[in-house]
Amino acid sequence: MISDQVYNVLTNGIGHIGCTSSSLRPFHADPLGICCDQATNTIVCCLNKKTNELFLEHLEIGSRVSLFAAVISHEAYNLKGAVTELRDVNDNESQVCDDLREKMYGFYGELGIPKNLVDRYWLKPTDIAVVFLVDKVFVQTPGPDAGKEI
Amino acid sequence: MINDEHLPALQGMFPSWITTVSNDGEPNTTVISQIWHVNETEVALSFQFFNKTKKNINQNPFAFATITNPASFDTYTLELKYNRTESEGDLFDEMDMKLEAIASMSGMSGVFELKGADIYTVLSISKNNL
Repeated sequence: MISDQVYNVLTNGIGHIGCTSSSLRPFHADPLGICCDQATNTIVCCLNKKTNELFLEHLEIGSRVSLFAAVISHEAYNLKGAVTELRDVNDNESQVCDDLREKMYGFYGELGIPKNLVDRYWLKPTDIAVVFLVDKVFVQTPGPDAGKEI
Repeated sequence: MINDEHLPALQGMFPSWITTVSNDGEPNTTVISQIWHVNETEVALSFQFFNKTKKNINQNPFAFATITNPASFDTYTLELKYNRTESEGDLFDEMDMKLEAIASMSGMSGVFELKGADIYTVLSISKNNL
């Protein structure tokens, strides 16, 4: 279900993950690293708890989530599924976040944005992992295929 | 509610992201080019396509959005509720002109027609940095 192309965007791009409350109010959070297991269609989003409190207040096992991920070329995908686990971030996942932050220094540096500003978004403790099982993948790259399920 | 502190984050320098929910509880998170300042209690989103966000808002008026100040990287989260759609007036014209300029620069003039300015009431706005 998760192709190599989608995997590449998930693991090299910027993501945002949304959920809903029991009263159908939406919330979202900003992953600082995304891990993907193509064999099991499982995604792990590493988050900072403090800056994503509203999202986490309304998230529980079984919650439906929507993960938007995009790279600078505007290639983007939306993965939907249900949360299977909320747990601590492990060492491998923490390393993924560190590696992504290093990529972001390079990306923003090319735009003339200094590291201290980049750190205000990207340098935060990743202290919770949201794990979900993907059951739908949609193209979200702007163009004629936007919204198409793959 | 919206004050001078928030205005740089509403200029469209950085994309914003928004989450909506269908009436059967399926969330949808996506990125949009700009959230527009209307007044102290309202913001606007462009309505160009009948996309998932628009479909969800037609079913459930609540949205959650994040904006970024490009100079400080301060981020703010907004809880929103859809109010109305305007298809004429100063705000509509300003949005139409900017969107057409962007389309023209990318060789897509006339493709991304603005159908309306969707006006949302801001229920809350909060700073989101550590």
